[in-house]
Amino acid sequence: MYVYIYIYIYIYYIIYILYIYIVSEKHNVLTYLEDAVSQLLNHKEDNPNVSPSKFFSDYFNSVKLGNHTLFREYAFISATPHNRSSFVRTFWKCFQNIGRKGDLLGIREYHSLLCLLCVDFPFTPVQKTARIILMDDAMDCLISFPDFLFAFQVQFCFNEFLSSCAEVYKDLVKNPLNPPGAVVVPTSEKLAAAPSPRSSEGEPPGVRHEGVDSMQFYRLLVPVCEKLMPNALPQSLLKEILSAATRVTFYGFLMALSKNAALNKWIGKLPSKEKLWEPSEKSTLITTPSCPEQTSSPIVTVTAPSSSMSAISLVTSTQSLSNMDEKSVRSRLTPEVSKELKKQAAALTSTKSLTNTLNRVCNMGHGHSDTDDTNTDSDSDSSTN
Amino acid sequence: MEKAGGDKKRSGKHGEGVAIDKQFLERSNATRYIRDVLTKIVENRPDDPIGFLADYFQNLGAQKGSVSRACQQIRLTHHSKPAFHNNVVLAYEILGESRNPPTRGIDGKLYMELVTELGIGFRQTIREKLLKKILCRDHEVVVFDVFRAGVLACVILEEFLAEAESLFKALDFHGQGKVEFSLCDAVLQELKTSVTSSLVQDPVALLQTAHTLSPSSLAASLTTITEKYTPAGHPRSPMTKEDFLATATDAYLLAVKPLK
Repeated sequence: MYVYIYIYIYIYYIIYILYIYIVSEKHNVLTYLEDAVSQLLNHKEDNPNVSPSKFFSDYFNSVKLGNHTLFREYAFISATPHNRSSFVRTFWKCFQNIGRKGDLLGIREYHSLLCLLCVDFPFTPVQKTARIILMDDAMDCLISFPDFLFAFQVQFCFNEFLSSCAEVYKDLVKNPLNPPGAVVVPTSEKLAAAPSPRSSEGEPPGVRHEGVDSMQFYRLLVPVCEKLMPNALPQSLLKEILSAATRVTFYGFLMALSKNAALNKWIGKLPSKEKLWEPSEKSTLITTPSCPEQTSSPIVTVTAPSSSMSAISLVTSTQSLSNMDEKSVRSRLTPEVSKELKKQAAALTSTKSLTNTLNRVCNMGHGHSDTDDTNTDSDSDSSTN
Repeated sequence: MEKAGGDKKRSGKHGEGVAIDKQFLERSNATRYIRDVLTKIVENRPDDPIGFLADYFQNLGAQKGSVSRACQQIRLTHHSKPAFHNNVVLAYEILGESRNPPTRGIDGKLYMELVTELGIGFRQTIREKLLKKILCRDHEVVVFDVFRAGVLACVILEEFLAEAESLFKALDFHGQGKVEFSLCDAVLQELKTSVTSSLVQDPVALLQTAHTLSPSSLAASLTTITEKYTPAGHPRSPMTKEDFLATATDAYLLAVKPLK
C-alpha cells in the first residue's frame, strides 16, 4: 500500500522536474534565475546589506523592459532570444545619433561600437552582417546605420539558424533536387557535371550564380526551423519571403530577411525603418554603397577619408553613449541597477578599452587590420579579467 | 542548481567561496525566494514567466496589507486554470489569518473589502451594481463557497467587460465613440438571451448559445433587426460605450445568483 503511494509521489516528482525543464527551455526561466543569483552574489561583495527581494525585483523588471543586456558579457547577451533582441534594441538606443547624422561607418567601427556595449563582443557576427549587406564582396565598403542595424538584427538573433541555412543552401547548390514529377535518369556525365559550377569550395555563393529554386529551399528549411524553433523565424514568414521570387541566392535571401518589415515586427524590438529616429524630424536615409559593381579600385579612395571621419564619428558616438548613460538609461533603470551599470561603465573606461578602440580605429587607415583584430581580442580578455 | 552561476568569478579558495555564498543565500532568504518562485511558476504556469517573476518580486518587496496580498494571490492565474481554485483557498486563508485572533473563516467586512479591491478597475456605476448583487453584511460569517462565488463573479465580470468593449469597438466602425441605438440594442438582446439561456445545465443549450454569438449568426440577426427598425423606428440617440457596458453588465448580473 505504502509502496504505491511512494511510487505515485515519485511519478509526480518526475513530472514536476520535466515541467521545469520544459519551462526553462521555452522561456529560459532557469537561465534568468541563475543569472539573477550570480549577479546578486557579485553585487553582495560591494554592498553587503543588499536586500535580495529588492535586488530580484529590480533585476526582473529590467529583464522585462529589455534593459538588462547593457555592459554584460557576450555569453549572457547571446544566451536567449530575448537577450539578443534586447541587445539590438540597446545598440539602436545608444547609437541612433549616428544614423541621424547620416554617417557611414566601416564594419570595424561598428564592431568597436558594439565593444563599447559588450566588451568581449566577437568580430565574426559583425563580419557576417557585413556580408549580408555587401553581398560578400567589397568588405571595406562603408555602411549606413539603418542598413547595418537591420542586417545585424537578423544575423545576431538568428545566428544558428542562418548557419544551418547556409549549409542547406550549399548542399542544394551542389545537388539540386529534381523538380517534382520529372523523371531524370542520372548518368555519369550529369553527375560529374553537376558540382562543376560550384567547384570553388571556399567561395560562398554570390550573385553571379542564379541561386536555387526558392520553394525547394523553403521545403528543406522547414525541418531546420522546427528543430531550432525558439531561435528560428516562423515558417509563415519564411514562406512569404521565399515565395517572392522563383529563384533565390543565399545573400539575396539574407538581404530579404533583413529588409522584411513583418519580420522586424515579429521580433518586436526595433521600430520600422521609417520611424527609426522618430523624435527628430530629420530623416536622412543614406543608401549603401552595396552594389557589387563597386570593386576594389574605388575603395582605395573611400578608405582614405574613412579613418579620420570614423574617428570623429566614434568620438561623437561615445559622447552620445555617455549622454545616454546620464539621462535616458538611468531614467529607465531602477537606482540599484543603474548604480551597478555606472560602476561597470567606469570599469570599462578605466581598463583603457575605450582608448584601445579609438587607437584601433585610427590605425585602421594604415592597414594594420589583421594584427589589430588579435590585439582587440587580447584587450577585451584582459579587461574582462 | 541555482547557486552554480554565483561562484564563476571566485578565484583562489574556491570551496570556501562557495560555502560563504551558500551561507549568504541562506541567511538572506534568497534560497527560499527562489524555491518559492519556482513552485509558483510550476503551479500557475504563466504565459509570460519573466513578467510573472518581475511582478512576484515587486509584490514581495512591497509591504502590503492582507487584503491586497489576497487580491494578488487571486490574480496570479486566470480563472479557467486548475491552480485558480488553490489560489482562492490561499487568499481565504490569508484573510482569515489576518484577523485578530486568527480564525479559519472570515466575516463580511473583510470579504467586502476584498471584492471592492478586486473591482477597483471597474467604473463606479458598474462596481456599485456588482457589489449590490454580491453583498454580505459586515457581521456575517462568509463561508468558503460564498467567498469563491463572489471572487469568481468579480474576475469573470472583468473578462466579460473586456469582451463587451471589444464588441462595441467592432460595432463602432466609424470610430466616433457612438453607435446607433438599434445596432447596440440588437447585440445586447442577443447577449442577454445567451447569458440567461446558458444558465441551464444543458450542453445543447450551451452549443446553441455559442452559435448565436458566433460572428455570422450575429451579423444575420443584426441585418434583420436593422431592416425592421429603420422604417418604423423612432429616432433614439446613439449609444456611448459607457451605456453599452452598463447594459451589458445588467445582462451579466442576471446570471449571477444573489447571495441573499
